[in-house]
Amino acid sequence: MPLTADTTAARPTALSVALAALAAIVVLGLAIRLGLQLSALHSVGNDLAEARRTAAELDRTVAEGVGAPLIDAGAAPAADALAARLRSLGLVVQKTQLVAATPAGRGLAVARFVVEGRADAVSLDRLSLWADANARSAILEELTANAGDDGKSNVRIELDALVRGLKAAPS
Amino acid sequence: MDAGETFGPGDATATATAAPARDEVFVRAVDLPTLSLRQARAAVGHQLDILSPLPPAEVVASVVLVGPTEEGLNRYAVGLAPRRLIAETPAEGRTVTLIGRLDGQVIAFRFSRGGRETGLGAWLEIAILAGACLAIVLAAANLRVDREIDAVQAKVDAADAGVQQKSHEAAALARVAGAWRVAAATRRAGLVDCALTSLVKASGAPVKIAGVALAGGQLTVRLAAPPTTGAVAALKALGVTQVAASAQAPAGPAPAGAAPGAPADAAAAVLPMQDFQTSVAACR
Repeated sequence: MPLTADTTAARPTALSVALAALAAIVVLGLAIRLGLQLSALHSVGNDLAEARRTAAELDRTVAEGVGAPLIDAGAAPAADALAARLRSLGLVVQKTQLVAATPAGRGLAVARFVVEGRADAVSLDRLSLWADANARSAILEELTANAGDDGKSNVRIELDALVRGLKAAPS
Repeated sequence: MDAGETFGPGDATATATAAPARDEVFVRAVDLPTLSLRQARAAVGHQLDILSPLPPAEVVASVVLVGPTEEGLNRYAVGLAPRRLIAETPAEGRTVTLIGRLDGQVIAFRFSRGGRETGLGAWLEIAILAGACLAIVLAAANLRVDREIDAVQAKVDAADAGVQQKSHEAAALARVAGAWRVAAATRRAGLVDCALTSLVKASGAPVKIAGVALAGGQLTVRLAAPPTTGAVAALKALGVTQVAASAQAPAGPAPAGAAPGAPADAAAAVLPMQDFQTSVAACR
């Protein structure tokens, strides 16, 4: 039996060329796809950066809010806190009611209070000065005072104030 | 055993044992201490100018392991064929198999068909392998980038949703802030103090007030007693103007002198006007 050195079958050149061409096509296709993917990734990355920039700007806008809070409703009901303030100005507060609230950013709300009570002219003047001094936090929307026989007036106040931590918005 | 190989000229370092040449292949036996066909080929390649009866550039060589020798070496049969013969011999593929004889033993030698063809084949093999490897790497990169795109897209979607929510929040806040600024500009609480101070200044003495009404940035004060003409003029100079009694006036006691039960418009027509009005812009 003759000795032979031919143990590995030689691949025809045409097959090799075909395989090489196939490999080249596959590589080219994958490379093109990768290029498109990278382009898409870059585009999506830009979109993300833009969205984050916009979100940051909006955050800043929201954080600026409307103004400083006049009342912190975390410790006590806002109506009670306002009544205490008005009493300190010399008003006799008979009724305080929170009639409406609108969110105003940073956990604040613009709350509309209606207060009924009695006050003399000095107290009313003090009230107006106090509201003027807190103009960034409170707006004296309406004030009606009708003089009584005892020198004091029946007073009805509608006051808008910025309140922090107001939970539910009354209708 | 492994395939034969084509070699070019090189340095001669191994010892060769001559053998009779038969057929078209000139065969020599070479004893080498290695079993590695690769090393054997290399050794033969270096000694080709010694082993070959023809100039090394004109021959191709093929190496076949024959078996061990008594001295503990390994005997290889080296087939040497003219390069021209290999090129002219019809064959399938890239190799030509020729028969040679060594000590009467028939040995099939496999010769590659020329250096250029061998080079092309090798290059093709390398290209295929490299292409396959590159394709694998690229496919993995494709998958990776696909996942990365999905992840970033998910982040973009989340960020967009957040932006949308924040936009609504900011828009609502802007509306509230705008309304607040407008209200704050037109409804100055200090107007009450300004008007009361003006009344005292104009009258030159404490004034009794029947009622006060502040609404829409306008303040209306109803005096309890009719003011003097001088006081009215002074109040006008201070931006507090006398107005007829109206529905917007304070609902305090009727002006002095009004007949009980008389209609309001009739009272306003016949009674001295005790209502005074001012605004943020007018009050000085």
